[in-house]
Amino acid sequence: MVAAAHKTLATEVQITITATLTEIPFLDNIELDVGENKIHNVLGVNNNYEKPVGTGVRGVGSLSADVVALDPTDAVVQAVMAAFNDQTEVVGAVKLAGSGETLSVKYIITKFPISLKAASVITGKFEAVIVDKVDLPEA
Amino acid sequence: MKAIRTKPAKAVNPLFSHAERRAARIAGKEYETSQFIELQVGEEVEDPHAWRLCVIGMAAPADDECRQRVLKYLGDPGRQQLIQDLKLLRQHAKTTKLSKKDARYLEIMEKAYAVDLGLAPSPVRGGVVILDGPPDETDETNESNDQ
Repeated sequence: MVAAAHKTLATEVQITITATLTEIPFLDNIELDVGENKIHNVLGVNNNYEKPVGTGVRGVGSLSADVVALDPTDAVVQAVMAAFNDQTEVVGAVKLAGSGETLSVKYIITKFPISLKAASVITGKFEAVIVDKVDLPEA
Repeated sequence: MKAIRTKPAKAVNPLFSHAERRAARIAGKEYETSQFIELQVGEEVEDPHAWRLCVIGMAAPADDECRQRVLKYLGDPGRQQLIQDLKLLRQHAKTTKLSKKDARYLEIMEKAYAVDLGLAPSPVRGGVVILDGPPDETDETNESNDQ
């Protein structure tokens, strides 16, 4: 009577449970935004165009997904909800589709709205901000 | 609370740093600290949340405290009700075409609860969850799943 291992979506958001990376189930339309590279627009005396120059600063990144079917009795979902309630800094990861490349990501869950519009299905959203600067994978 | 890993897994390496790796790359040096630590099957885990690994099939209880917590979770009335609702929905789906949204919901839940719905073999029978528990109790649990 054990819940089967959660189905594997191509892309996964993972949370650490008992020192083990575990997929957060029921997520779809996952989006990873590692943040915006901030720029200065420099205008020289003899220039007629502002030249964008990287500042070396990256804006805060985010992680979001649709919760296709929220199961509040699920052991991992309960851990996610606890992390939201406690505003815990989650040590997790994002597994990218295709290559299976996995990025370690620390995040704080900022929003977890739940929609109860449908009688039989609980849906929701998952939104988090990334705590540390994360680099996109390079060759 | 103790459990034993039954599947290989990964953990984030606390020594890994994106910033240090970036600095090494810019300096043209190798950064040898890996992002993740490989966790081996058979490793004992001691943690108040070890039961969670057991109910998702990644570990097996290694003490009574963990075993009891797993059984409590599996027998939770809310969870049992959800499984009953899923069974009803599956019956309904045989005679009625579900909306796209409901069909997607059912698809996801069937995968998550494949064992409970009798769609996948129970790891309990293989001794994954209850290593040395009473066999009768295990059998009853599985019989109820098959209904």
